[in-house]
Amino acid sequence: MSIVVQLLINSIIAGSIYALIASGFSLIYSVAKFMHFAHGAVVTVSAFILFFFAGMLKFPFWLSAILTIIFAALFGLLMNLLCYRPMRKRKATNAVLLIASLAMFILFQSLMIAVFGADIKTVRLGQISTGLNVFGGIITELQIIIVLVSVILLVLLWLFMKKTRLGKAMRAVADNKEVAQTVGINPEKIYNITFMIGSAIAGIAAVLIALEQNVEPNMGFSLIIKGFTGAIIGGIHMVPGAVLGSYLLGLVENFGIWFLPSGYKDAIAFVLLFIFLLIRPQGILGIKRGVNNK
Amino acid sequence: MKKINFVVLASLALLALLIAGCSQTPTGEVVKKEEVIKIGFIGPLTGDAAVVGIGEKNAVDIAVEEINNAGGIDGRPLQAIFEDGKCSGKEAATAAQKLINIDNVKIILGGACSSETLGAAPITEANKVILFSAFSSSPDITYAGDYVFRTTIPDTHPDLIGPLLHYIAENKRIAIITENSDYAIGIRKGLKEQLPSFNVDIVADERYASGEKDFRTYLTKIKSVNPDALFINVATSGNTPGLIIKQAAELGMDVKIYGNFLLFAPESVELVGDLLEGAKVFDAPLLDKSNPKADAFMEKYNSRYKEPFSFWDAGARYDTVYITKNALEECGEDTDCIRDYLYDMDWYLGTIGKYKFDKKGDVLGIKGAVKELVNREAVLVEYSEAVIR
Repeated sequence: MSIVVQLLINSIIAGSIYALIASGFSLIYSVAKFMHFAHGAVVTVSAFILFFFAGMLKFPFWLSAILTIIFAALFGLLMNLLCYRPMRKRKATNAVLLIASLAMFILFQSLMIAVFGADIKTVRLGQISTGLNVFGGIITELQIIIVLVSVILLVLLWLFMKKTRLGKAMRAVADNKEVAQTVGINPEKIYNITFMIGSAIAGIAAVLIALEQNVEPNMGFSLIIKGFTGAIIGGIHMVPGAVLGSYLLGLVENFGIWFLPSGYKDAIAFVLLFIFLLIRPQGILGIKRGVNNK
Repeated sequence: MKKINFVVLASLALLALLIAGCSQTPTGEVVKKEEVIKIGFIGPLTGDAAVVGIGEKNAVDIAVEEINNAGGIDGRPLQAIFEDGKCSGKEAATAAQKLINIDNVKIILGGACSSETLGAAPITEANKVILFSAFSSSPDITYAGDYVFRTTIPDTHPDLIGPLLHYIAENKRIAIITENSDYAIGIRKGLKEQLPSFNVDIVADERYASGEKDFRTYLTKIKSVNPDALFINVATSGNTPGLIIKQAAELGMDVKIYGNFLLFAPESVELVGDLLEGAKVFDAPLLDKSNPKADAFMEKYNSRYKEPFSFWDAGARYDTVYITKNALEECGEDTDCIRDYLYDMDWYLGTIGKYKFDKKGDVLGIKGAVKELVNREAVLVEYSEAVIR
C-alpha cells in the first residue's frame, strides 16, 4: 500500500462528501444571501426518508433513492415557502433568517428522533468487503461512486448556472435582486427554484452518505459544519469555490493528521477556517466586492 | 400593541403567582409529608445514554416498591425523586442542587455516567450528602470525596481490565484507537501502564473526537505499522464502533480485535456482527443466575420491563437501594453516621455478588469479566469468583 496514494484517496472521499453538502449550501447562500443551516436537516430528514422507503417499505433501492431526491427538493421548497418567504415579506434581516434556519434544524432533528428513535439505521447494498486496489491505495466501489457522482453533479451544476436561461436568472438575482426585477425576473420564483435544486443535491448527498456512514438523527450537524467550513474556505458566494474549498479541507485534514497527532483533526479544520476568515474572508475564488457586496 | 402585550404578560405572571400560592400545602399535610423518606436519583433519562439511566430507574422503582410493601423504613415509606443528569456533569450538578436544596434529600443514588458523578460530587460533598453510584467507573471518582461511594470497579483497576490483558498478551504488537472522552482516556492510560508487563508493544496510539465518522486516515496510520491486534476504545455505543470496524475491513486490515464492553453494544453487533466474531472485550461480570438474589431480581425485572442495557448495572442499582435502606435503619438521616456505616459495612451479599467498600468508597470483591462474540452473542470467557467468596 502506498501511503501517499491512500491518503490522497482518503482526502478525495472526504472532500467529495463535504462538497456535496457545501455546493447546495453555497448555491442557496449565493442567491438568497443568508446562511441556510437547515440544509443539514434536509440531509438528515432525507436520509431517514431513504431508510423509510428502502429499509421499512422494502422498495427497490433505485426507486427509494429517486423518491428521496424528489422529497428533498420538495422539502427545501416548503421550507422556503412556509418559513423564509413570510419572513422576507416582513422584511426580516438575514440574521433573523439564520436564526429561523437554526430553529428548523433543531426542530427537524428532534422530529426524526421522535418518529424514528435515536438508534442507528442502516441502508446497505451488499456485504462489507475489502475495497479495490487503485494505484496502490484502497477504495470501495461505493466510495468511487460517491466521488464520481460528486464530480459529475458539480460539473452539471456549473454548466447549468453558466449556460441555461434559468441559471443566468439565478445568477442575476444573486448579483443584484433589484436590477434583476427590473428586467422581469421574479426573485421569489428564483428563490423557490434555488431551494429546490440546492435541496435536491442535499437529497443526493443523503443517499450516498446513508450508504457510507449509516443514518442517525444528529448526522446533519457535523456535515453542515464541515460543508460550511469548506464553503467559507473556497468562497461561499460561488459554487465552484465551495467545491474547491471542500476538497482542500479534505486534503488538509487527512494529510494533517498523518503528521500531527490524530486528535487534532477538527482543530486542523477550524484553524484553516480561522486563517481564511482573518486573511481572505471572501475565500479562495471569491472576489472582493465594493458597493455590491451585501 | 406593545402595551397590550405587557398587560397580558403581567396578568399571566400574577396568575402564576396566585396558583403557586394556592398550591402551598396546609400545615397538617406538611407534617404528614415529613414521614416519607426522600432519596434522590440522578442518571441519564434522555439522550444517547438514556438506556443506562432508564434501566437504573426501573431497578430503583422495583426496590422502593418492595421496601414499601414490606413496611418501609421503621414504618416510614421511601420515595425516590428522579432527576435527569443527561450524562453531563453540568446537568448532574444542577440536579444535585435541586435535590439537596428543594427536596432536602440526604442520599442521592447516582450518577450513572462518570461525568454525572464527577459533576455532582463537589455539591454533595459541600452539603454532606451521600452520593452513591452504581455504574460510574472513572478512576477520578476514587478521589471525589468522603461521601461518595460506588459499586463499580474503576476503569483502569487491574481487577477490571486484568483478565482481558492475559488474552491480549497472545499478541506482540497492538494498536489502540481511543475516543477523546474521560472514560476512554482512562482505559487508554490503564492499557499503557499495564501492557508492557505483558510484553506487548503499543505500536500505534490514535485518538479521535467524539462524533467522528471518517476513520480511514487513522486506520491507514495504524495499518502502516502492521499491528497484530487492534484495541477499539470507544466511549459511545452508537454508530462509531461499527464504522471503525467497517472501514478497517474495507482497508483490508487483518487484525485481532479487542475493546471495552461498548464494542458489543446491540447496535454494533447488528451492524458488523460478522466482522466482530471472535473479538474479545472486558466488561463488568454478568449477574450469576445461581445467586438466588440475582435470579429473583432478573425475573422480576423481565416481567415488567424489556431487558435493560446491562443487567449488572440494574442489579447493582437495585442493591444500592437496599444498602441505603439498611443504612437509614441504622442511622436515620444522619449522613455522617451513614458514611461511617458504609465504610464499616460487612460483606454484603447482593445481586452482583458479595462485596464491601474500601477506605476511599470504592468497591471490594467485584472483578471484571472477559466476553467473546460467538455467533453474534457475547459469551462469558472468564468468570469472576466474586459471587463465590
